[in-house]
Amino acid sequence: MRISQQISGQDERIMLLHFEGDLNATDCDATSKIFQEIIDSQKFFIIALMENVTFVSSPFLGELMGCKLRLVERGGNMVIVGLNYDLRERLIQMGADKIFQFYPDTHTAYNHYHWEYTQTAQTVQITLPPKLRSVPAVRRFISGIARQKGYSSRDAFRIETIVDEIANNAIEHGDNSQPAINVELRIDRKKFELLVRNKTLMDKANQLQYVIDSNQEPTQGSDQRGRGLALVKLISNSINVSIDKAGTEVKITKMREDS
Amino acid sequence: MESPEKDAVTYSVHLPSDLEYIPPLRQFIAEVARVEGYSKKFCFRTEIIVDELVTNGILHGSQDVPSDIILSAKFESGQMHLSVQDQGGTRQNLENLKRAVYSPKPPSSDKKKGRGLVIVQMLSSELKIDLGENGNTQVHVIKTKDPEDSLGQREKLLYESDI
Repeated sequence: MRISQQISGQDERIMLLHFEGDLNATDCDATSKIFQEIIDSQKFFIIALMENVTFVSSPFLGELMGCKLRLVERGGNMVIVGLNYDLRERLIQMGADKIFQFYPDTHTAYNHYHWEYTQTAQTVQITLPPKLRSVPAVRRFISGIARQKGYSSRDAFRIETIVDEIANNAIEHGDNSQPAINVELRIDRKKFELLVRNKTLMDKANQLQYVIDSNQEPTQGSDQRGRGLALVKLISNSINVSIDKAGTEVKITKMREDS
Repeated sequence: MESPEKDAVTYSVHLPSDLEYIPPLRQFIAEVARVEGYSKKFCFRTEIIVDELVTNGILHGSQDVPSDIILSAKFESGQMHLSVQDQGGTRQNLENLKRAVYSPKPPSSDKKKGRGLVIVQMLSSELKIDLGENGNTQVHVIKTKDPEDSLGQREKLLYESDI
């Protein structure tokens, strides 16, 4: 076995450990000592790079688990990157996937680190033509992102409902000459924000503002339409509208329910 | 119900360089193509193209964290113009990309990687790259609707009932 360490160029709180060759039981003590040195230097996040590893023995895997536990106790973590397919399958058979996260490359591991520990929000901007037929694809895309980022099916379904309602409103009540609708989502571990910008005729924009501020629906009695915003208010945590000459922006925040 | 029109329509997505976004993104572009009147086969092939180009952009182009990928899909006159922009990789990455696009050769059978752009070329009508002044790389694909790709009346009705 060969093992070398390097502070990450991306983030100095992360240590990269390059492993090479067979990881045997005889290598456990040396590895444990290296981990202790890293912990003593106050670095608690480790990316174990294993592209060039040819074998992992079960005692060595146990040692890695112990090292990971020491990091987790200090609020850190260790993830494994670059295992070849066969080795990864073997480790999964040994149950290691319940303890470690495996990533194909360091880039994905860094993304995971930022998502989990620095809780940086990620932003996706979508520009779509102002056609109602585009909305189903957009709402499914956004709820798909929520699922992919670990939000529950219930949260994702509610997000889909919110996107559908707000995007449909932006198109239906928008200025006919508007060239595009802009949808932006900001997602982090704890909350989801949706911003929809469009060009709305001023009277419709004021009506929207009224509906949101007054907690009332504009239509009364037997009218079968106009309940969408009430539903959105019910399933989201906040809703704000800003109107200026450039257009209307609706911003909705929804907290993750299982966070 | 609105029907797909002949005028150009453009969808664009600006997203973080993160592999987790690829499955919903590729499904989105395939669904959008379907909405714009392209056949299931065309959409499935589009999904493969998007998957490959965005994966390449993330793994070899926008490698910093955080960094972004910009994808745009324009549908016009029976053609889809797809463009994927990343923040540019290393010189070696660029050389590999140019070689793969302009002198494609399937890799030998023992190589595990390097077949993606060959497949993209097979599935598209045109593939080219642009290197931006600020170091960005843009990969452009044009995919033309074949007569067999047109959505038939029966398929159109089935799709509308799906919506």
